[in-house]
Amino acid sequence: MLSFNAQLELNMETEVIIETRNLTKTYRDFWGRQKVRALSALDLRIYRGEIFGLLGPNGSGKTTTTKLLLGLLFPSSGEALVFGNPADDVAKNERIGYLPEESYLYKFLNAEETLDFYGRLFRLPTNIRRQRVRDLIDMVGLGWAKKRQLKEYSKGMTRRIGLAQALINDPELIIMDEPTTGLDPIGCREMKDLILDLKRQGKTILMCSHLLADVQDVCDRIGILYQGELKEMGRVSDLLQIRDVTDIQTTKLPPEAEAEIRRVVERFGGQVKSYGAPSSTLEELFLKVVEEGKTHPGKRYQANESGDPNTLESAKED
Amino acid sequence: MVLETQFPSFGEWIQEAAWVWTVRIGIFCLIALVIGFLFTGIRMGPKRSWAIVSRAVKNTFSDLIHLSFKRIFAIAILSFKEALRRKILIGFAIFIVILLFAGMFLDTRSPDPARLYINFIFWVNAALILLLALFISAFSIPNDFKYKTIYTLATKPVRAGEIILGRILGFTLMCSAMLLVMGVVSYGFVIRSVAHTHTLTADDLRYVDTTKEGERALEGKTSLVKEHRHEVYLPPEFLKNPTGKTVMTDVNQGHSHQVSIVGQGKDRQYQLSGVKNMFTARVPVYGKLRFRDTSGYDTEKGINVGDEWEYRSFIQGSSDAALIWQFKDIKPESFPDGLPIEMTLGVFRTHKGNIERGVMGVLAVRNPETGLMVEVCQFESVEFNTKRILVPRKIKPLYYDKKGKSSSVQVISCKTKLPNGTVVYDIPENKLNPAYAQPSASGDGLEFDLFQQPGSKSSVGRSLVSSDGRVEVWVSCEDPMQYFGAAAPDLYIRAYDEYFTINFIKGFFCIWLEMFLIIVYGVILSSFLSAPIAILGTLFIMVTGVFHQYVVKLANGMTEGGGVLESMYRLLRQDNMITELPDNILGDFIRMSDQAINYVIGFVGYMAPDLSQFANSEYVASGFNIPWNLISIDAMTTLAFFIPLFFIGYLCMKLREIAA
Repeated sequence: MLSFNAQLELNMETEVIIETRNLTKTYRDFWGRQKVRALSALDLRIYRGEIFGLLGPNGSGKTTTTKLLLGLLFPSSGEALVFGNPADDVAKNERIGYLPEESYLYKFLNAEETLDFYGRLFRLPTNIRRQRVRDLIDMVGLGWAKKRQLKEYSKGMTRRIGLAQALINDPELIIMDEPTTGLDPIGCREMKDLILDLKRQGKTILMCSHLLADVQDVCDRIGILYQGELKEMGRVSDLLQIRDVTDIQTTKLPPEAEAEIRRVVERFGGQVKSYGAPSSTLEELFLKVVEEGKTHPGKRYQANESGDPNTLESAKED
Repeated sequence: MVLETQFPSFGEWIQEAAWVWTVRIGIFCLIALVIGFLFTGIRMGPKRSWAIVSRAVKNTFSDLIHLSFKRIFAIAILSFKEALRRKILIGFAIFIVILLFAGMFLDTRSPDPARLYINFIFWVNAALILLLALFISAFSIPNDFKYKTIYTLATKPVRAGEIILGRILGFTLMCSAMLLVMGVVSYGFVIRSVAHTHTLTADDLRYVDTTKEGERALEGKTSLVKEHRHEVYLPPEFLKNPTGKTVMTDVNQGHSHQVSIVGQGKDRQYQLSGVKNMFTARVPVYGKLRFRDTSGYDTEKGINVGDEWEYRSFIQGSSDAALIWQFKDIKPESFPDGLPIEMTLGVFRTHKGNIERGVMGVLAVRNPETGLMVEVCQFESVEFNTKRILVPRKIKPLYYDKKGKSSSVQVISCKTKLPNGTVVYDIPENKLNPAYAQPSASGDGLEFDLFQQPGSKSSVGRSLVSSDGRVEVWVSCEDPMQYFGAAAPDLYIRAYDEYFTINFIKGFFCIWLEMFLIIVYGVILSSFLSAPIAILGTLFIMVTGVFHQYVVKLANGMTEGGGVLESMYRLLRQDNMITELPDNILGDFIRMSDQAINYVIGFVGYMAPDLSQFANSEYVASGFNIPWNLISIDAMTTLAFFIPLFFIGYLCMKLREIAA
């Protein structure tokens, strides 16, 4: 017999939260003539507790899919079900949080008023609503600006308050459209950490993005849309695995180890494609620099002995 | 005050209105369902169409049942803040500026300054608040779509109906708060603007002899304030013992003042109070008017003396012709001192006569049950000058002959000639009792009581109000070749006075109802139109509403000069209004097109409320109480428009693709 946790995990993996059947959306002009087919016969299932990423270039149908799921658009044919109910059922919104591509919020409200307003729409009791507003403002780090009207906010701050409003009802399903748009690398990292944290809390997340690194970092499964059609879908680890290459990473070895390693590889019929120190990502470098800046506030960049730091050559060496 | 149409009692009105409303709403729902079914049926086939329409109906009921006041209130608060932070208070600033400069343009020499100020203040308030309501209501939902804030809103558990209701409630709260403040300021402005007093000194007064015994009175004029003075007459009895007593000055500019005397001898001072009787809210009891022609027959209309406006009908002087008002439900407990009658007659002179004096008339009272009629007084009437006459509880006839009998008392019946020539009497002649006009056997002499004394046999037949509370007031013209004219509201019994402040609030409530309707139209039209088009649409509804009666006449083909195309044709050809259209294809085309256009105009006319019925400031300005009856009809009319409009708005939001 399965333990409670194992049963819960099984349920989480098998309970369908979002399902689309042959979902199609065609945009038409005033006279009913077809302008563009934005989505074509999409069949999709997203299960409880997973982070699903919808990938695709601009105009591939990602945002159309989320709007159809949210009931902001009506399907031309097919069905979109959320929690087993049609997408145009308002009651489903009780369990959904939505972070749009840009934070479409009332600019004349301040942060507190914004969250309080959305909390009222969920009919949260006053004490819970107030507590939740405080917690979320702290979570997104806007405590210092909570009394300022949103029209005075920077883009990053607006995204943060947008995220807070999406979480005001402690939703089971969070739909995020380009969640890292407008955020600096630290904000991106925090957003990704938050998404992973939400997953740990058992939330289901659907995010669509064209920033591949974001999707790769956080998603369990992805679907790739192109010109309105689903071209690929599966677990990120499966899809990205290169089956005819073996990757070994060790601590730094002395130069004489290279010949020995090449011999061993050749003995097993393999071929060493590259050998050397791996390079980090720019995002990792940026985060490292900022982190060091926090711990050593006085430390500054200094040109090395090779000459002028502003020349291209010296910059490359750095 | 002109009242062209007599409004029915609320009970009568609601019975008919509720039925018409229910039928129209039923037809509207049926048409909406059929259109929905046909529209989806063409695209998806009848079976699927039926399923979709059934689901839509079910969802609609579910949505309406699950409307949450908390969410509506949340959106209302949002709308309130939105309006506030979008500098709506500029409207209030404009209002204050208008008031500050109003004094420069309002004529203080006006014969009725209260009317001038009240009309002005109501006009300014209505214009400002309606424009404000129009602009804030028509911009809200289109802005939600423009800035896509609707995405965030619609992905919360908010129903379409809650968005509509929340917006309406929010803007109504905002505008109501503004109207409240503007109303209080306006009230203060009106009262303060006309408030004044005069001074009166001994030098202003001179003694006049009043009696042969040498009793003397004082008369004179007050100081000049606000371009007018008042004549003061202090009678001998007042001068003998003035302590605790007051007398009134004459009425000038629609008001008078109380005069009192303080101190004695050299220390005597004359004090005048503030304005009196300026702000009133008379509660009139209107009667039903009929006319008596020169042959003595009752008719519905009198003579037309050439006015195009047929509001008033006239009677000829020095003849049997009379204006007859019949009142009902006149009870002694309501009028213990008599019947205070106020009348404003039209006077038409066919010759100048004595231009220094008005045209003479006689006012009489008749009991429609017994036929007893007693002349109460003679009066002098000047065109549209309001006369106040108290018909006392005990009436002595005007004229006596040598035998103590009176020619001004008679017992008569009224007769009407039917179209077939038959003459019908209200009291058969054989039932008339001439003894009622004779001196009373009980020694009362020729004195008549308005009401029958309970338990007194002697008063039976000598009362002027019938046992069921009916009484007739007859007005006839005494001068030959001169005419009196009247409409039903021109003579009324002034039952009592309401508080002016309450009447002022009632007037503002009518503005509030108009404002609410404009907000509803603005929000509903903006739920499917862009902001500029919604503003134009609401303005169009406002204009149609203000000229509603004309629009209905136009739609029913009752306007002179024909419909739209026919009028245009006449303009181009410079034809007059009574020239027949040509009897050819062009004429037929114009007639048919006008008929089609009239249907459209009629439909638009029914979509817009009759805003002229809400414009009740004339009551307040003229010093008449706005009847609760009228307020109730206005409020129910507002509700009757609000319900279907809300439903239309709900459907528009529900069926609209928010992200399209």
